[in-house]
Amino acid sequence: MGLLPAPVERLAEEFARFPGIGPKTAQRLAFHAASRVPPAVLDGLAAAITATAATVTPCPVCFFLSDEGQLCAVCRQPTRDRQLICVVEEPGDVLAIERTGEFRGLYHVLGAALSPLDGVGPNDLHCQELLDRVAAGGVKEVILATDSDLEGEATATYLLRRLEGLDVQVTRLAHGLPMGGELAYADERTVARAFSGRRQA
Amino acid sequence: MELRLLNFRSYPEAAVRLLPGANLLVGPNGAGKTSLLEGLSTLALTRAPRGGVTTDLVAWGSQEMGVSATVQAGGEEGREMVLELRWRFQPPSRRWVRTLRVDGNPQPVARYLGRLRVVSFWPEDLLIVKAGPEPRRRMLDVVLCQLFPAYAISLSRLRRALEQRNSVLRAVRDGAAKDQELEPWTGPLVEAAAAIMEAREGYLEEATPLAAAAALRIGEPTPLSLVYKPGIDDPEGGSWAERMTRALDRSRAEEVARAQTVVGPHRDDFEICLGGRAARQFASQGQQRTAVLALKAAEVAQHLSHGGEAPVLLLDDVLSELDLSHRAGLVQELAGGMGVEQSLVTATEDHGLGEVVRLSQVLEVRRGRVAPRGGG
Ligand SMILES: Nc1ncnc2c1ncn2[C@@H]1O[C@H](COP(=O)(O)OP(=O)(O)OP(=O)(O)O)[C@@H](O)[C@H]1O
Ligand SMILES: [Mg+2]
Ligand SMILES: [Zn+2]
Repeated sequence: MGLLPAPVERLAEEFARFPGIGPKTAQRLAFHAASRVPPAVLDGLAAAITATAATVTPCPVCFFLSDEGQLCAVCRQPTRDRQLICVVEEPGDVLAIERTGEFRGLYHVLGAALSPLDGVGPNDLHCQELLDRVAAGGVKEVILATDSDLEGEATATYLLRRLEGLDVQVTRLAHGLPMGGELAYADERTVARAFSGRRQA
Repeated sequence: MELRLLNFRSYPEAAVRLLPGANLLVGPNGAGKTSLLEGLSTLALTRAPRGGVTTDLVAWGSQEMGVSATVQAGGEEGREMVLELRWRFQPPSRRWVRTLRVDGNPQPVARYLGRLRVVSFWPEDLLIVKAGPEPRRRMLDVVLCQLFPAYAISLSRLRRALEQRNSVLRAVRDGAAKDQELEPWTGPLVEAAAAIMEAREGYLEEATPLAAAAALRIGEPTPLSLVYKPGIDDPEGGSWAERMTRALDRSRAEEVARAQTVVGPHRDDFEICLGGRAARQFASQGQQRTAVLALKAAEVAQHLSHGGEAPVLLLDDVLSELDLSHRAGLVQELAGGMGVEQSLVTATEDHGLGEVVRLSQVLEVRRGRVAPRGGG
């Protein structure tokens, strides 16, 4: 329409790319930023975004979010049990499990679940890196904590087959997550119970 | 029962009070009679009742559709509950999202299905004997989803597993994926397929004597039977899971070549037989109609025998399609033979229905308006 200053239009377009934000909400956020937020606060937001883009990278070992190519905060903790690896789909799942305090091992973030329909095959996930970590030795147990929907189950089955030849115990979270449930949205007690009830896969 | 529609087909908004017993909906072509029946059955089934895409039911140009009803709750006499189905378009993902509510609380589909049950009779059902297998499978799915909510879960897992697995088959055919990438989808496929085939086989076995008895009441002396024809080619027997697994193994070359899973419940069918012979090939027009009425009567009987809510019977335009003797047979079933407590019947004229069945009310439908005849 060209009625708005170009930066405001741009901002609305960029907001609309985020999950859960439609064009109307995006426009409202952009208007809000342009008319209600003091310039200093906007500068702070811009700086946070720039810093995220410039410095946040996946952890080279587990692919959780980390700073500039360094090990992530979990991998860096000396008290972690390095014989346990918990495999999850998304970084958000790591936070969900950490909230329970049930798990003291390391993680492996796949990035997604298998979904050939959406063009996501094993090579699009960090599967090989997981196999390499296990093959390098020192890992006693791999806990498959992918979601309990069809795609999460299939991903767990795939990894189980690939891990079979290696000298490691493979377990799967106990059912109890709601059918089709996403780990990241389950409550703490449910996640904790799924963890303590994990069994041989 | 009160039925409420929001942006459903040609109804921007409507509320209709339906009485126990027979409700006759009359009105000219295109008035919105069928749409009301579709509204109620969509609410019961949580999806488009006659196949096709559910969002085709959304009033053209709308981004949100809703159907709700206040119905009798099971158990205590007089307790009511509100069932609500909503479809909303989500601009960011460009997807339609469905929500189900009971008394205002969101419910997963497994806890929702079966609370309101319908047995419907659409004009195209009269052709079900001679039609391709798809409408016959849908007929089984419609009744089994309402009887056993777990069946609905298996069905949606089956659809999803087939889609995923067929994508891998395409990639395998094109050399972009290895055989081992199929396996993660084969397990869930077999599991869902086995649950579905077992349920369908059991249903048809139980339905056979019920349908045969109904056919006899309508005046067909030749014994009617229903024979399951599973969509797997495996003569060896064993559990459904074993049979499905073997059939998949055997069809591997073909499925890769066609990039499609070629065996499974998505290829199921059943044969309607009269005197042991396929009605599709040998039955007369009249016998085919009797068979269809008998199948519907069996559906009602199954709902009642599985201890559920009595289904609401929906008859769309079928009276005009039936000859006199079948109309009388249907009316007889309606009047008590079936054990139905509430029915909705549409017609462009009333066909003297009021003379054979006690009608609770006649509703006049005109361009999206529904009002009781003679009332205010
Ligand atoms: N998604 C939709 N949005 C808006 N209108 C629709 C939609 N789908 C169908 N219609 C219209 O709804 C009208 C009512 O259709 P309906 O099938 O309910 O009529 P009817 O009373 O059963 O007619 P008949 O006696 O011919 O069977 C039709 O004119 C049709 O064009
Ligand atoms: Mg009609
Ligand atoms: Zn790490």
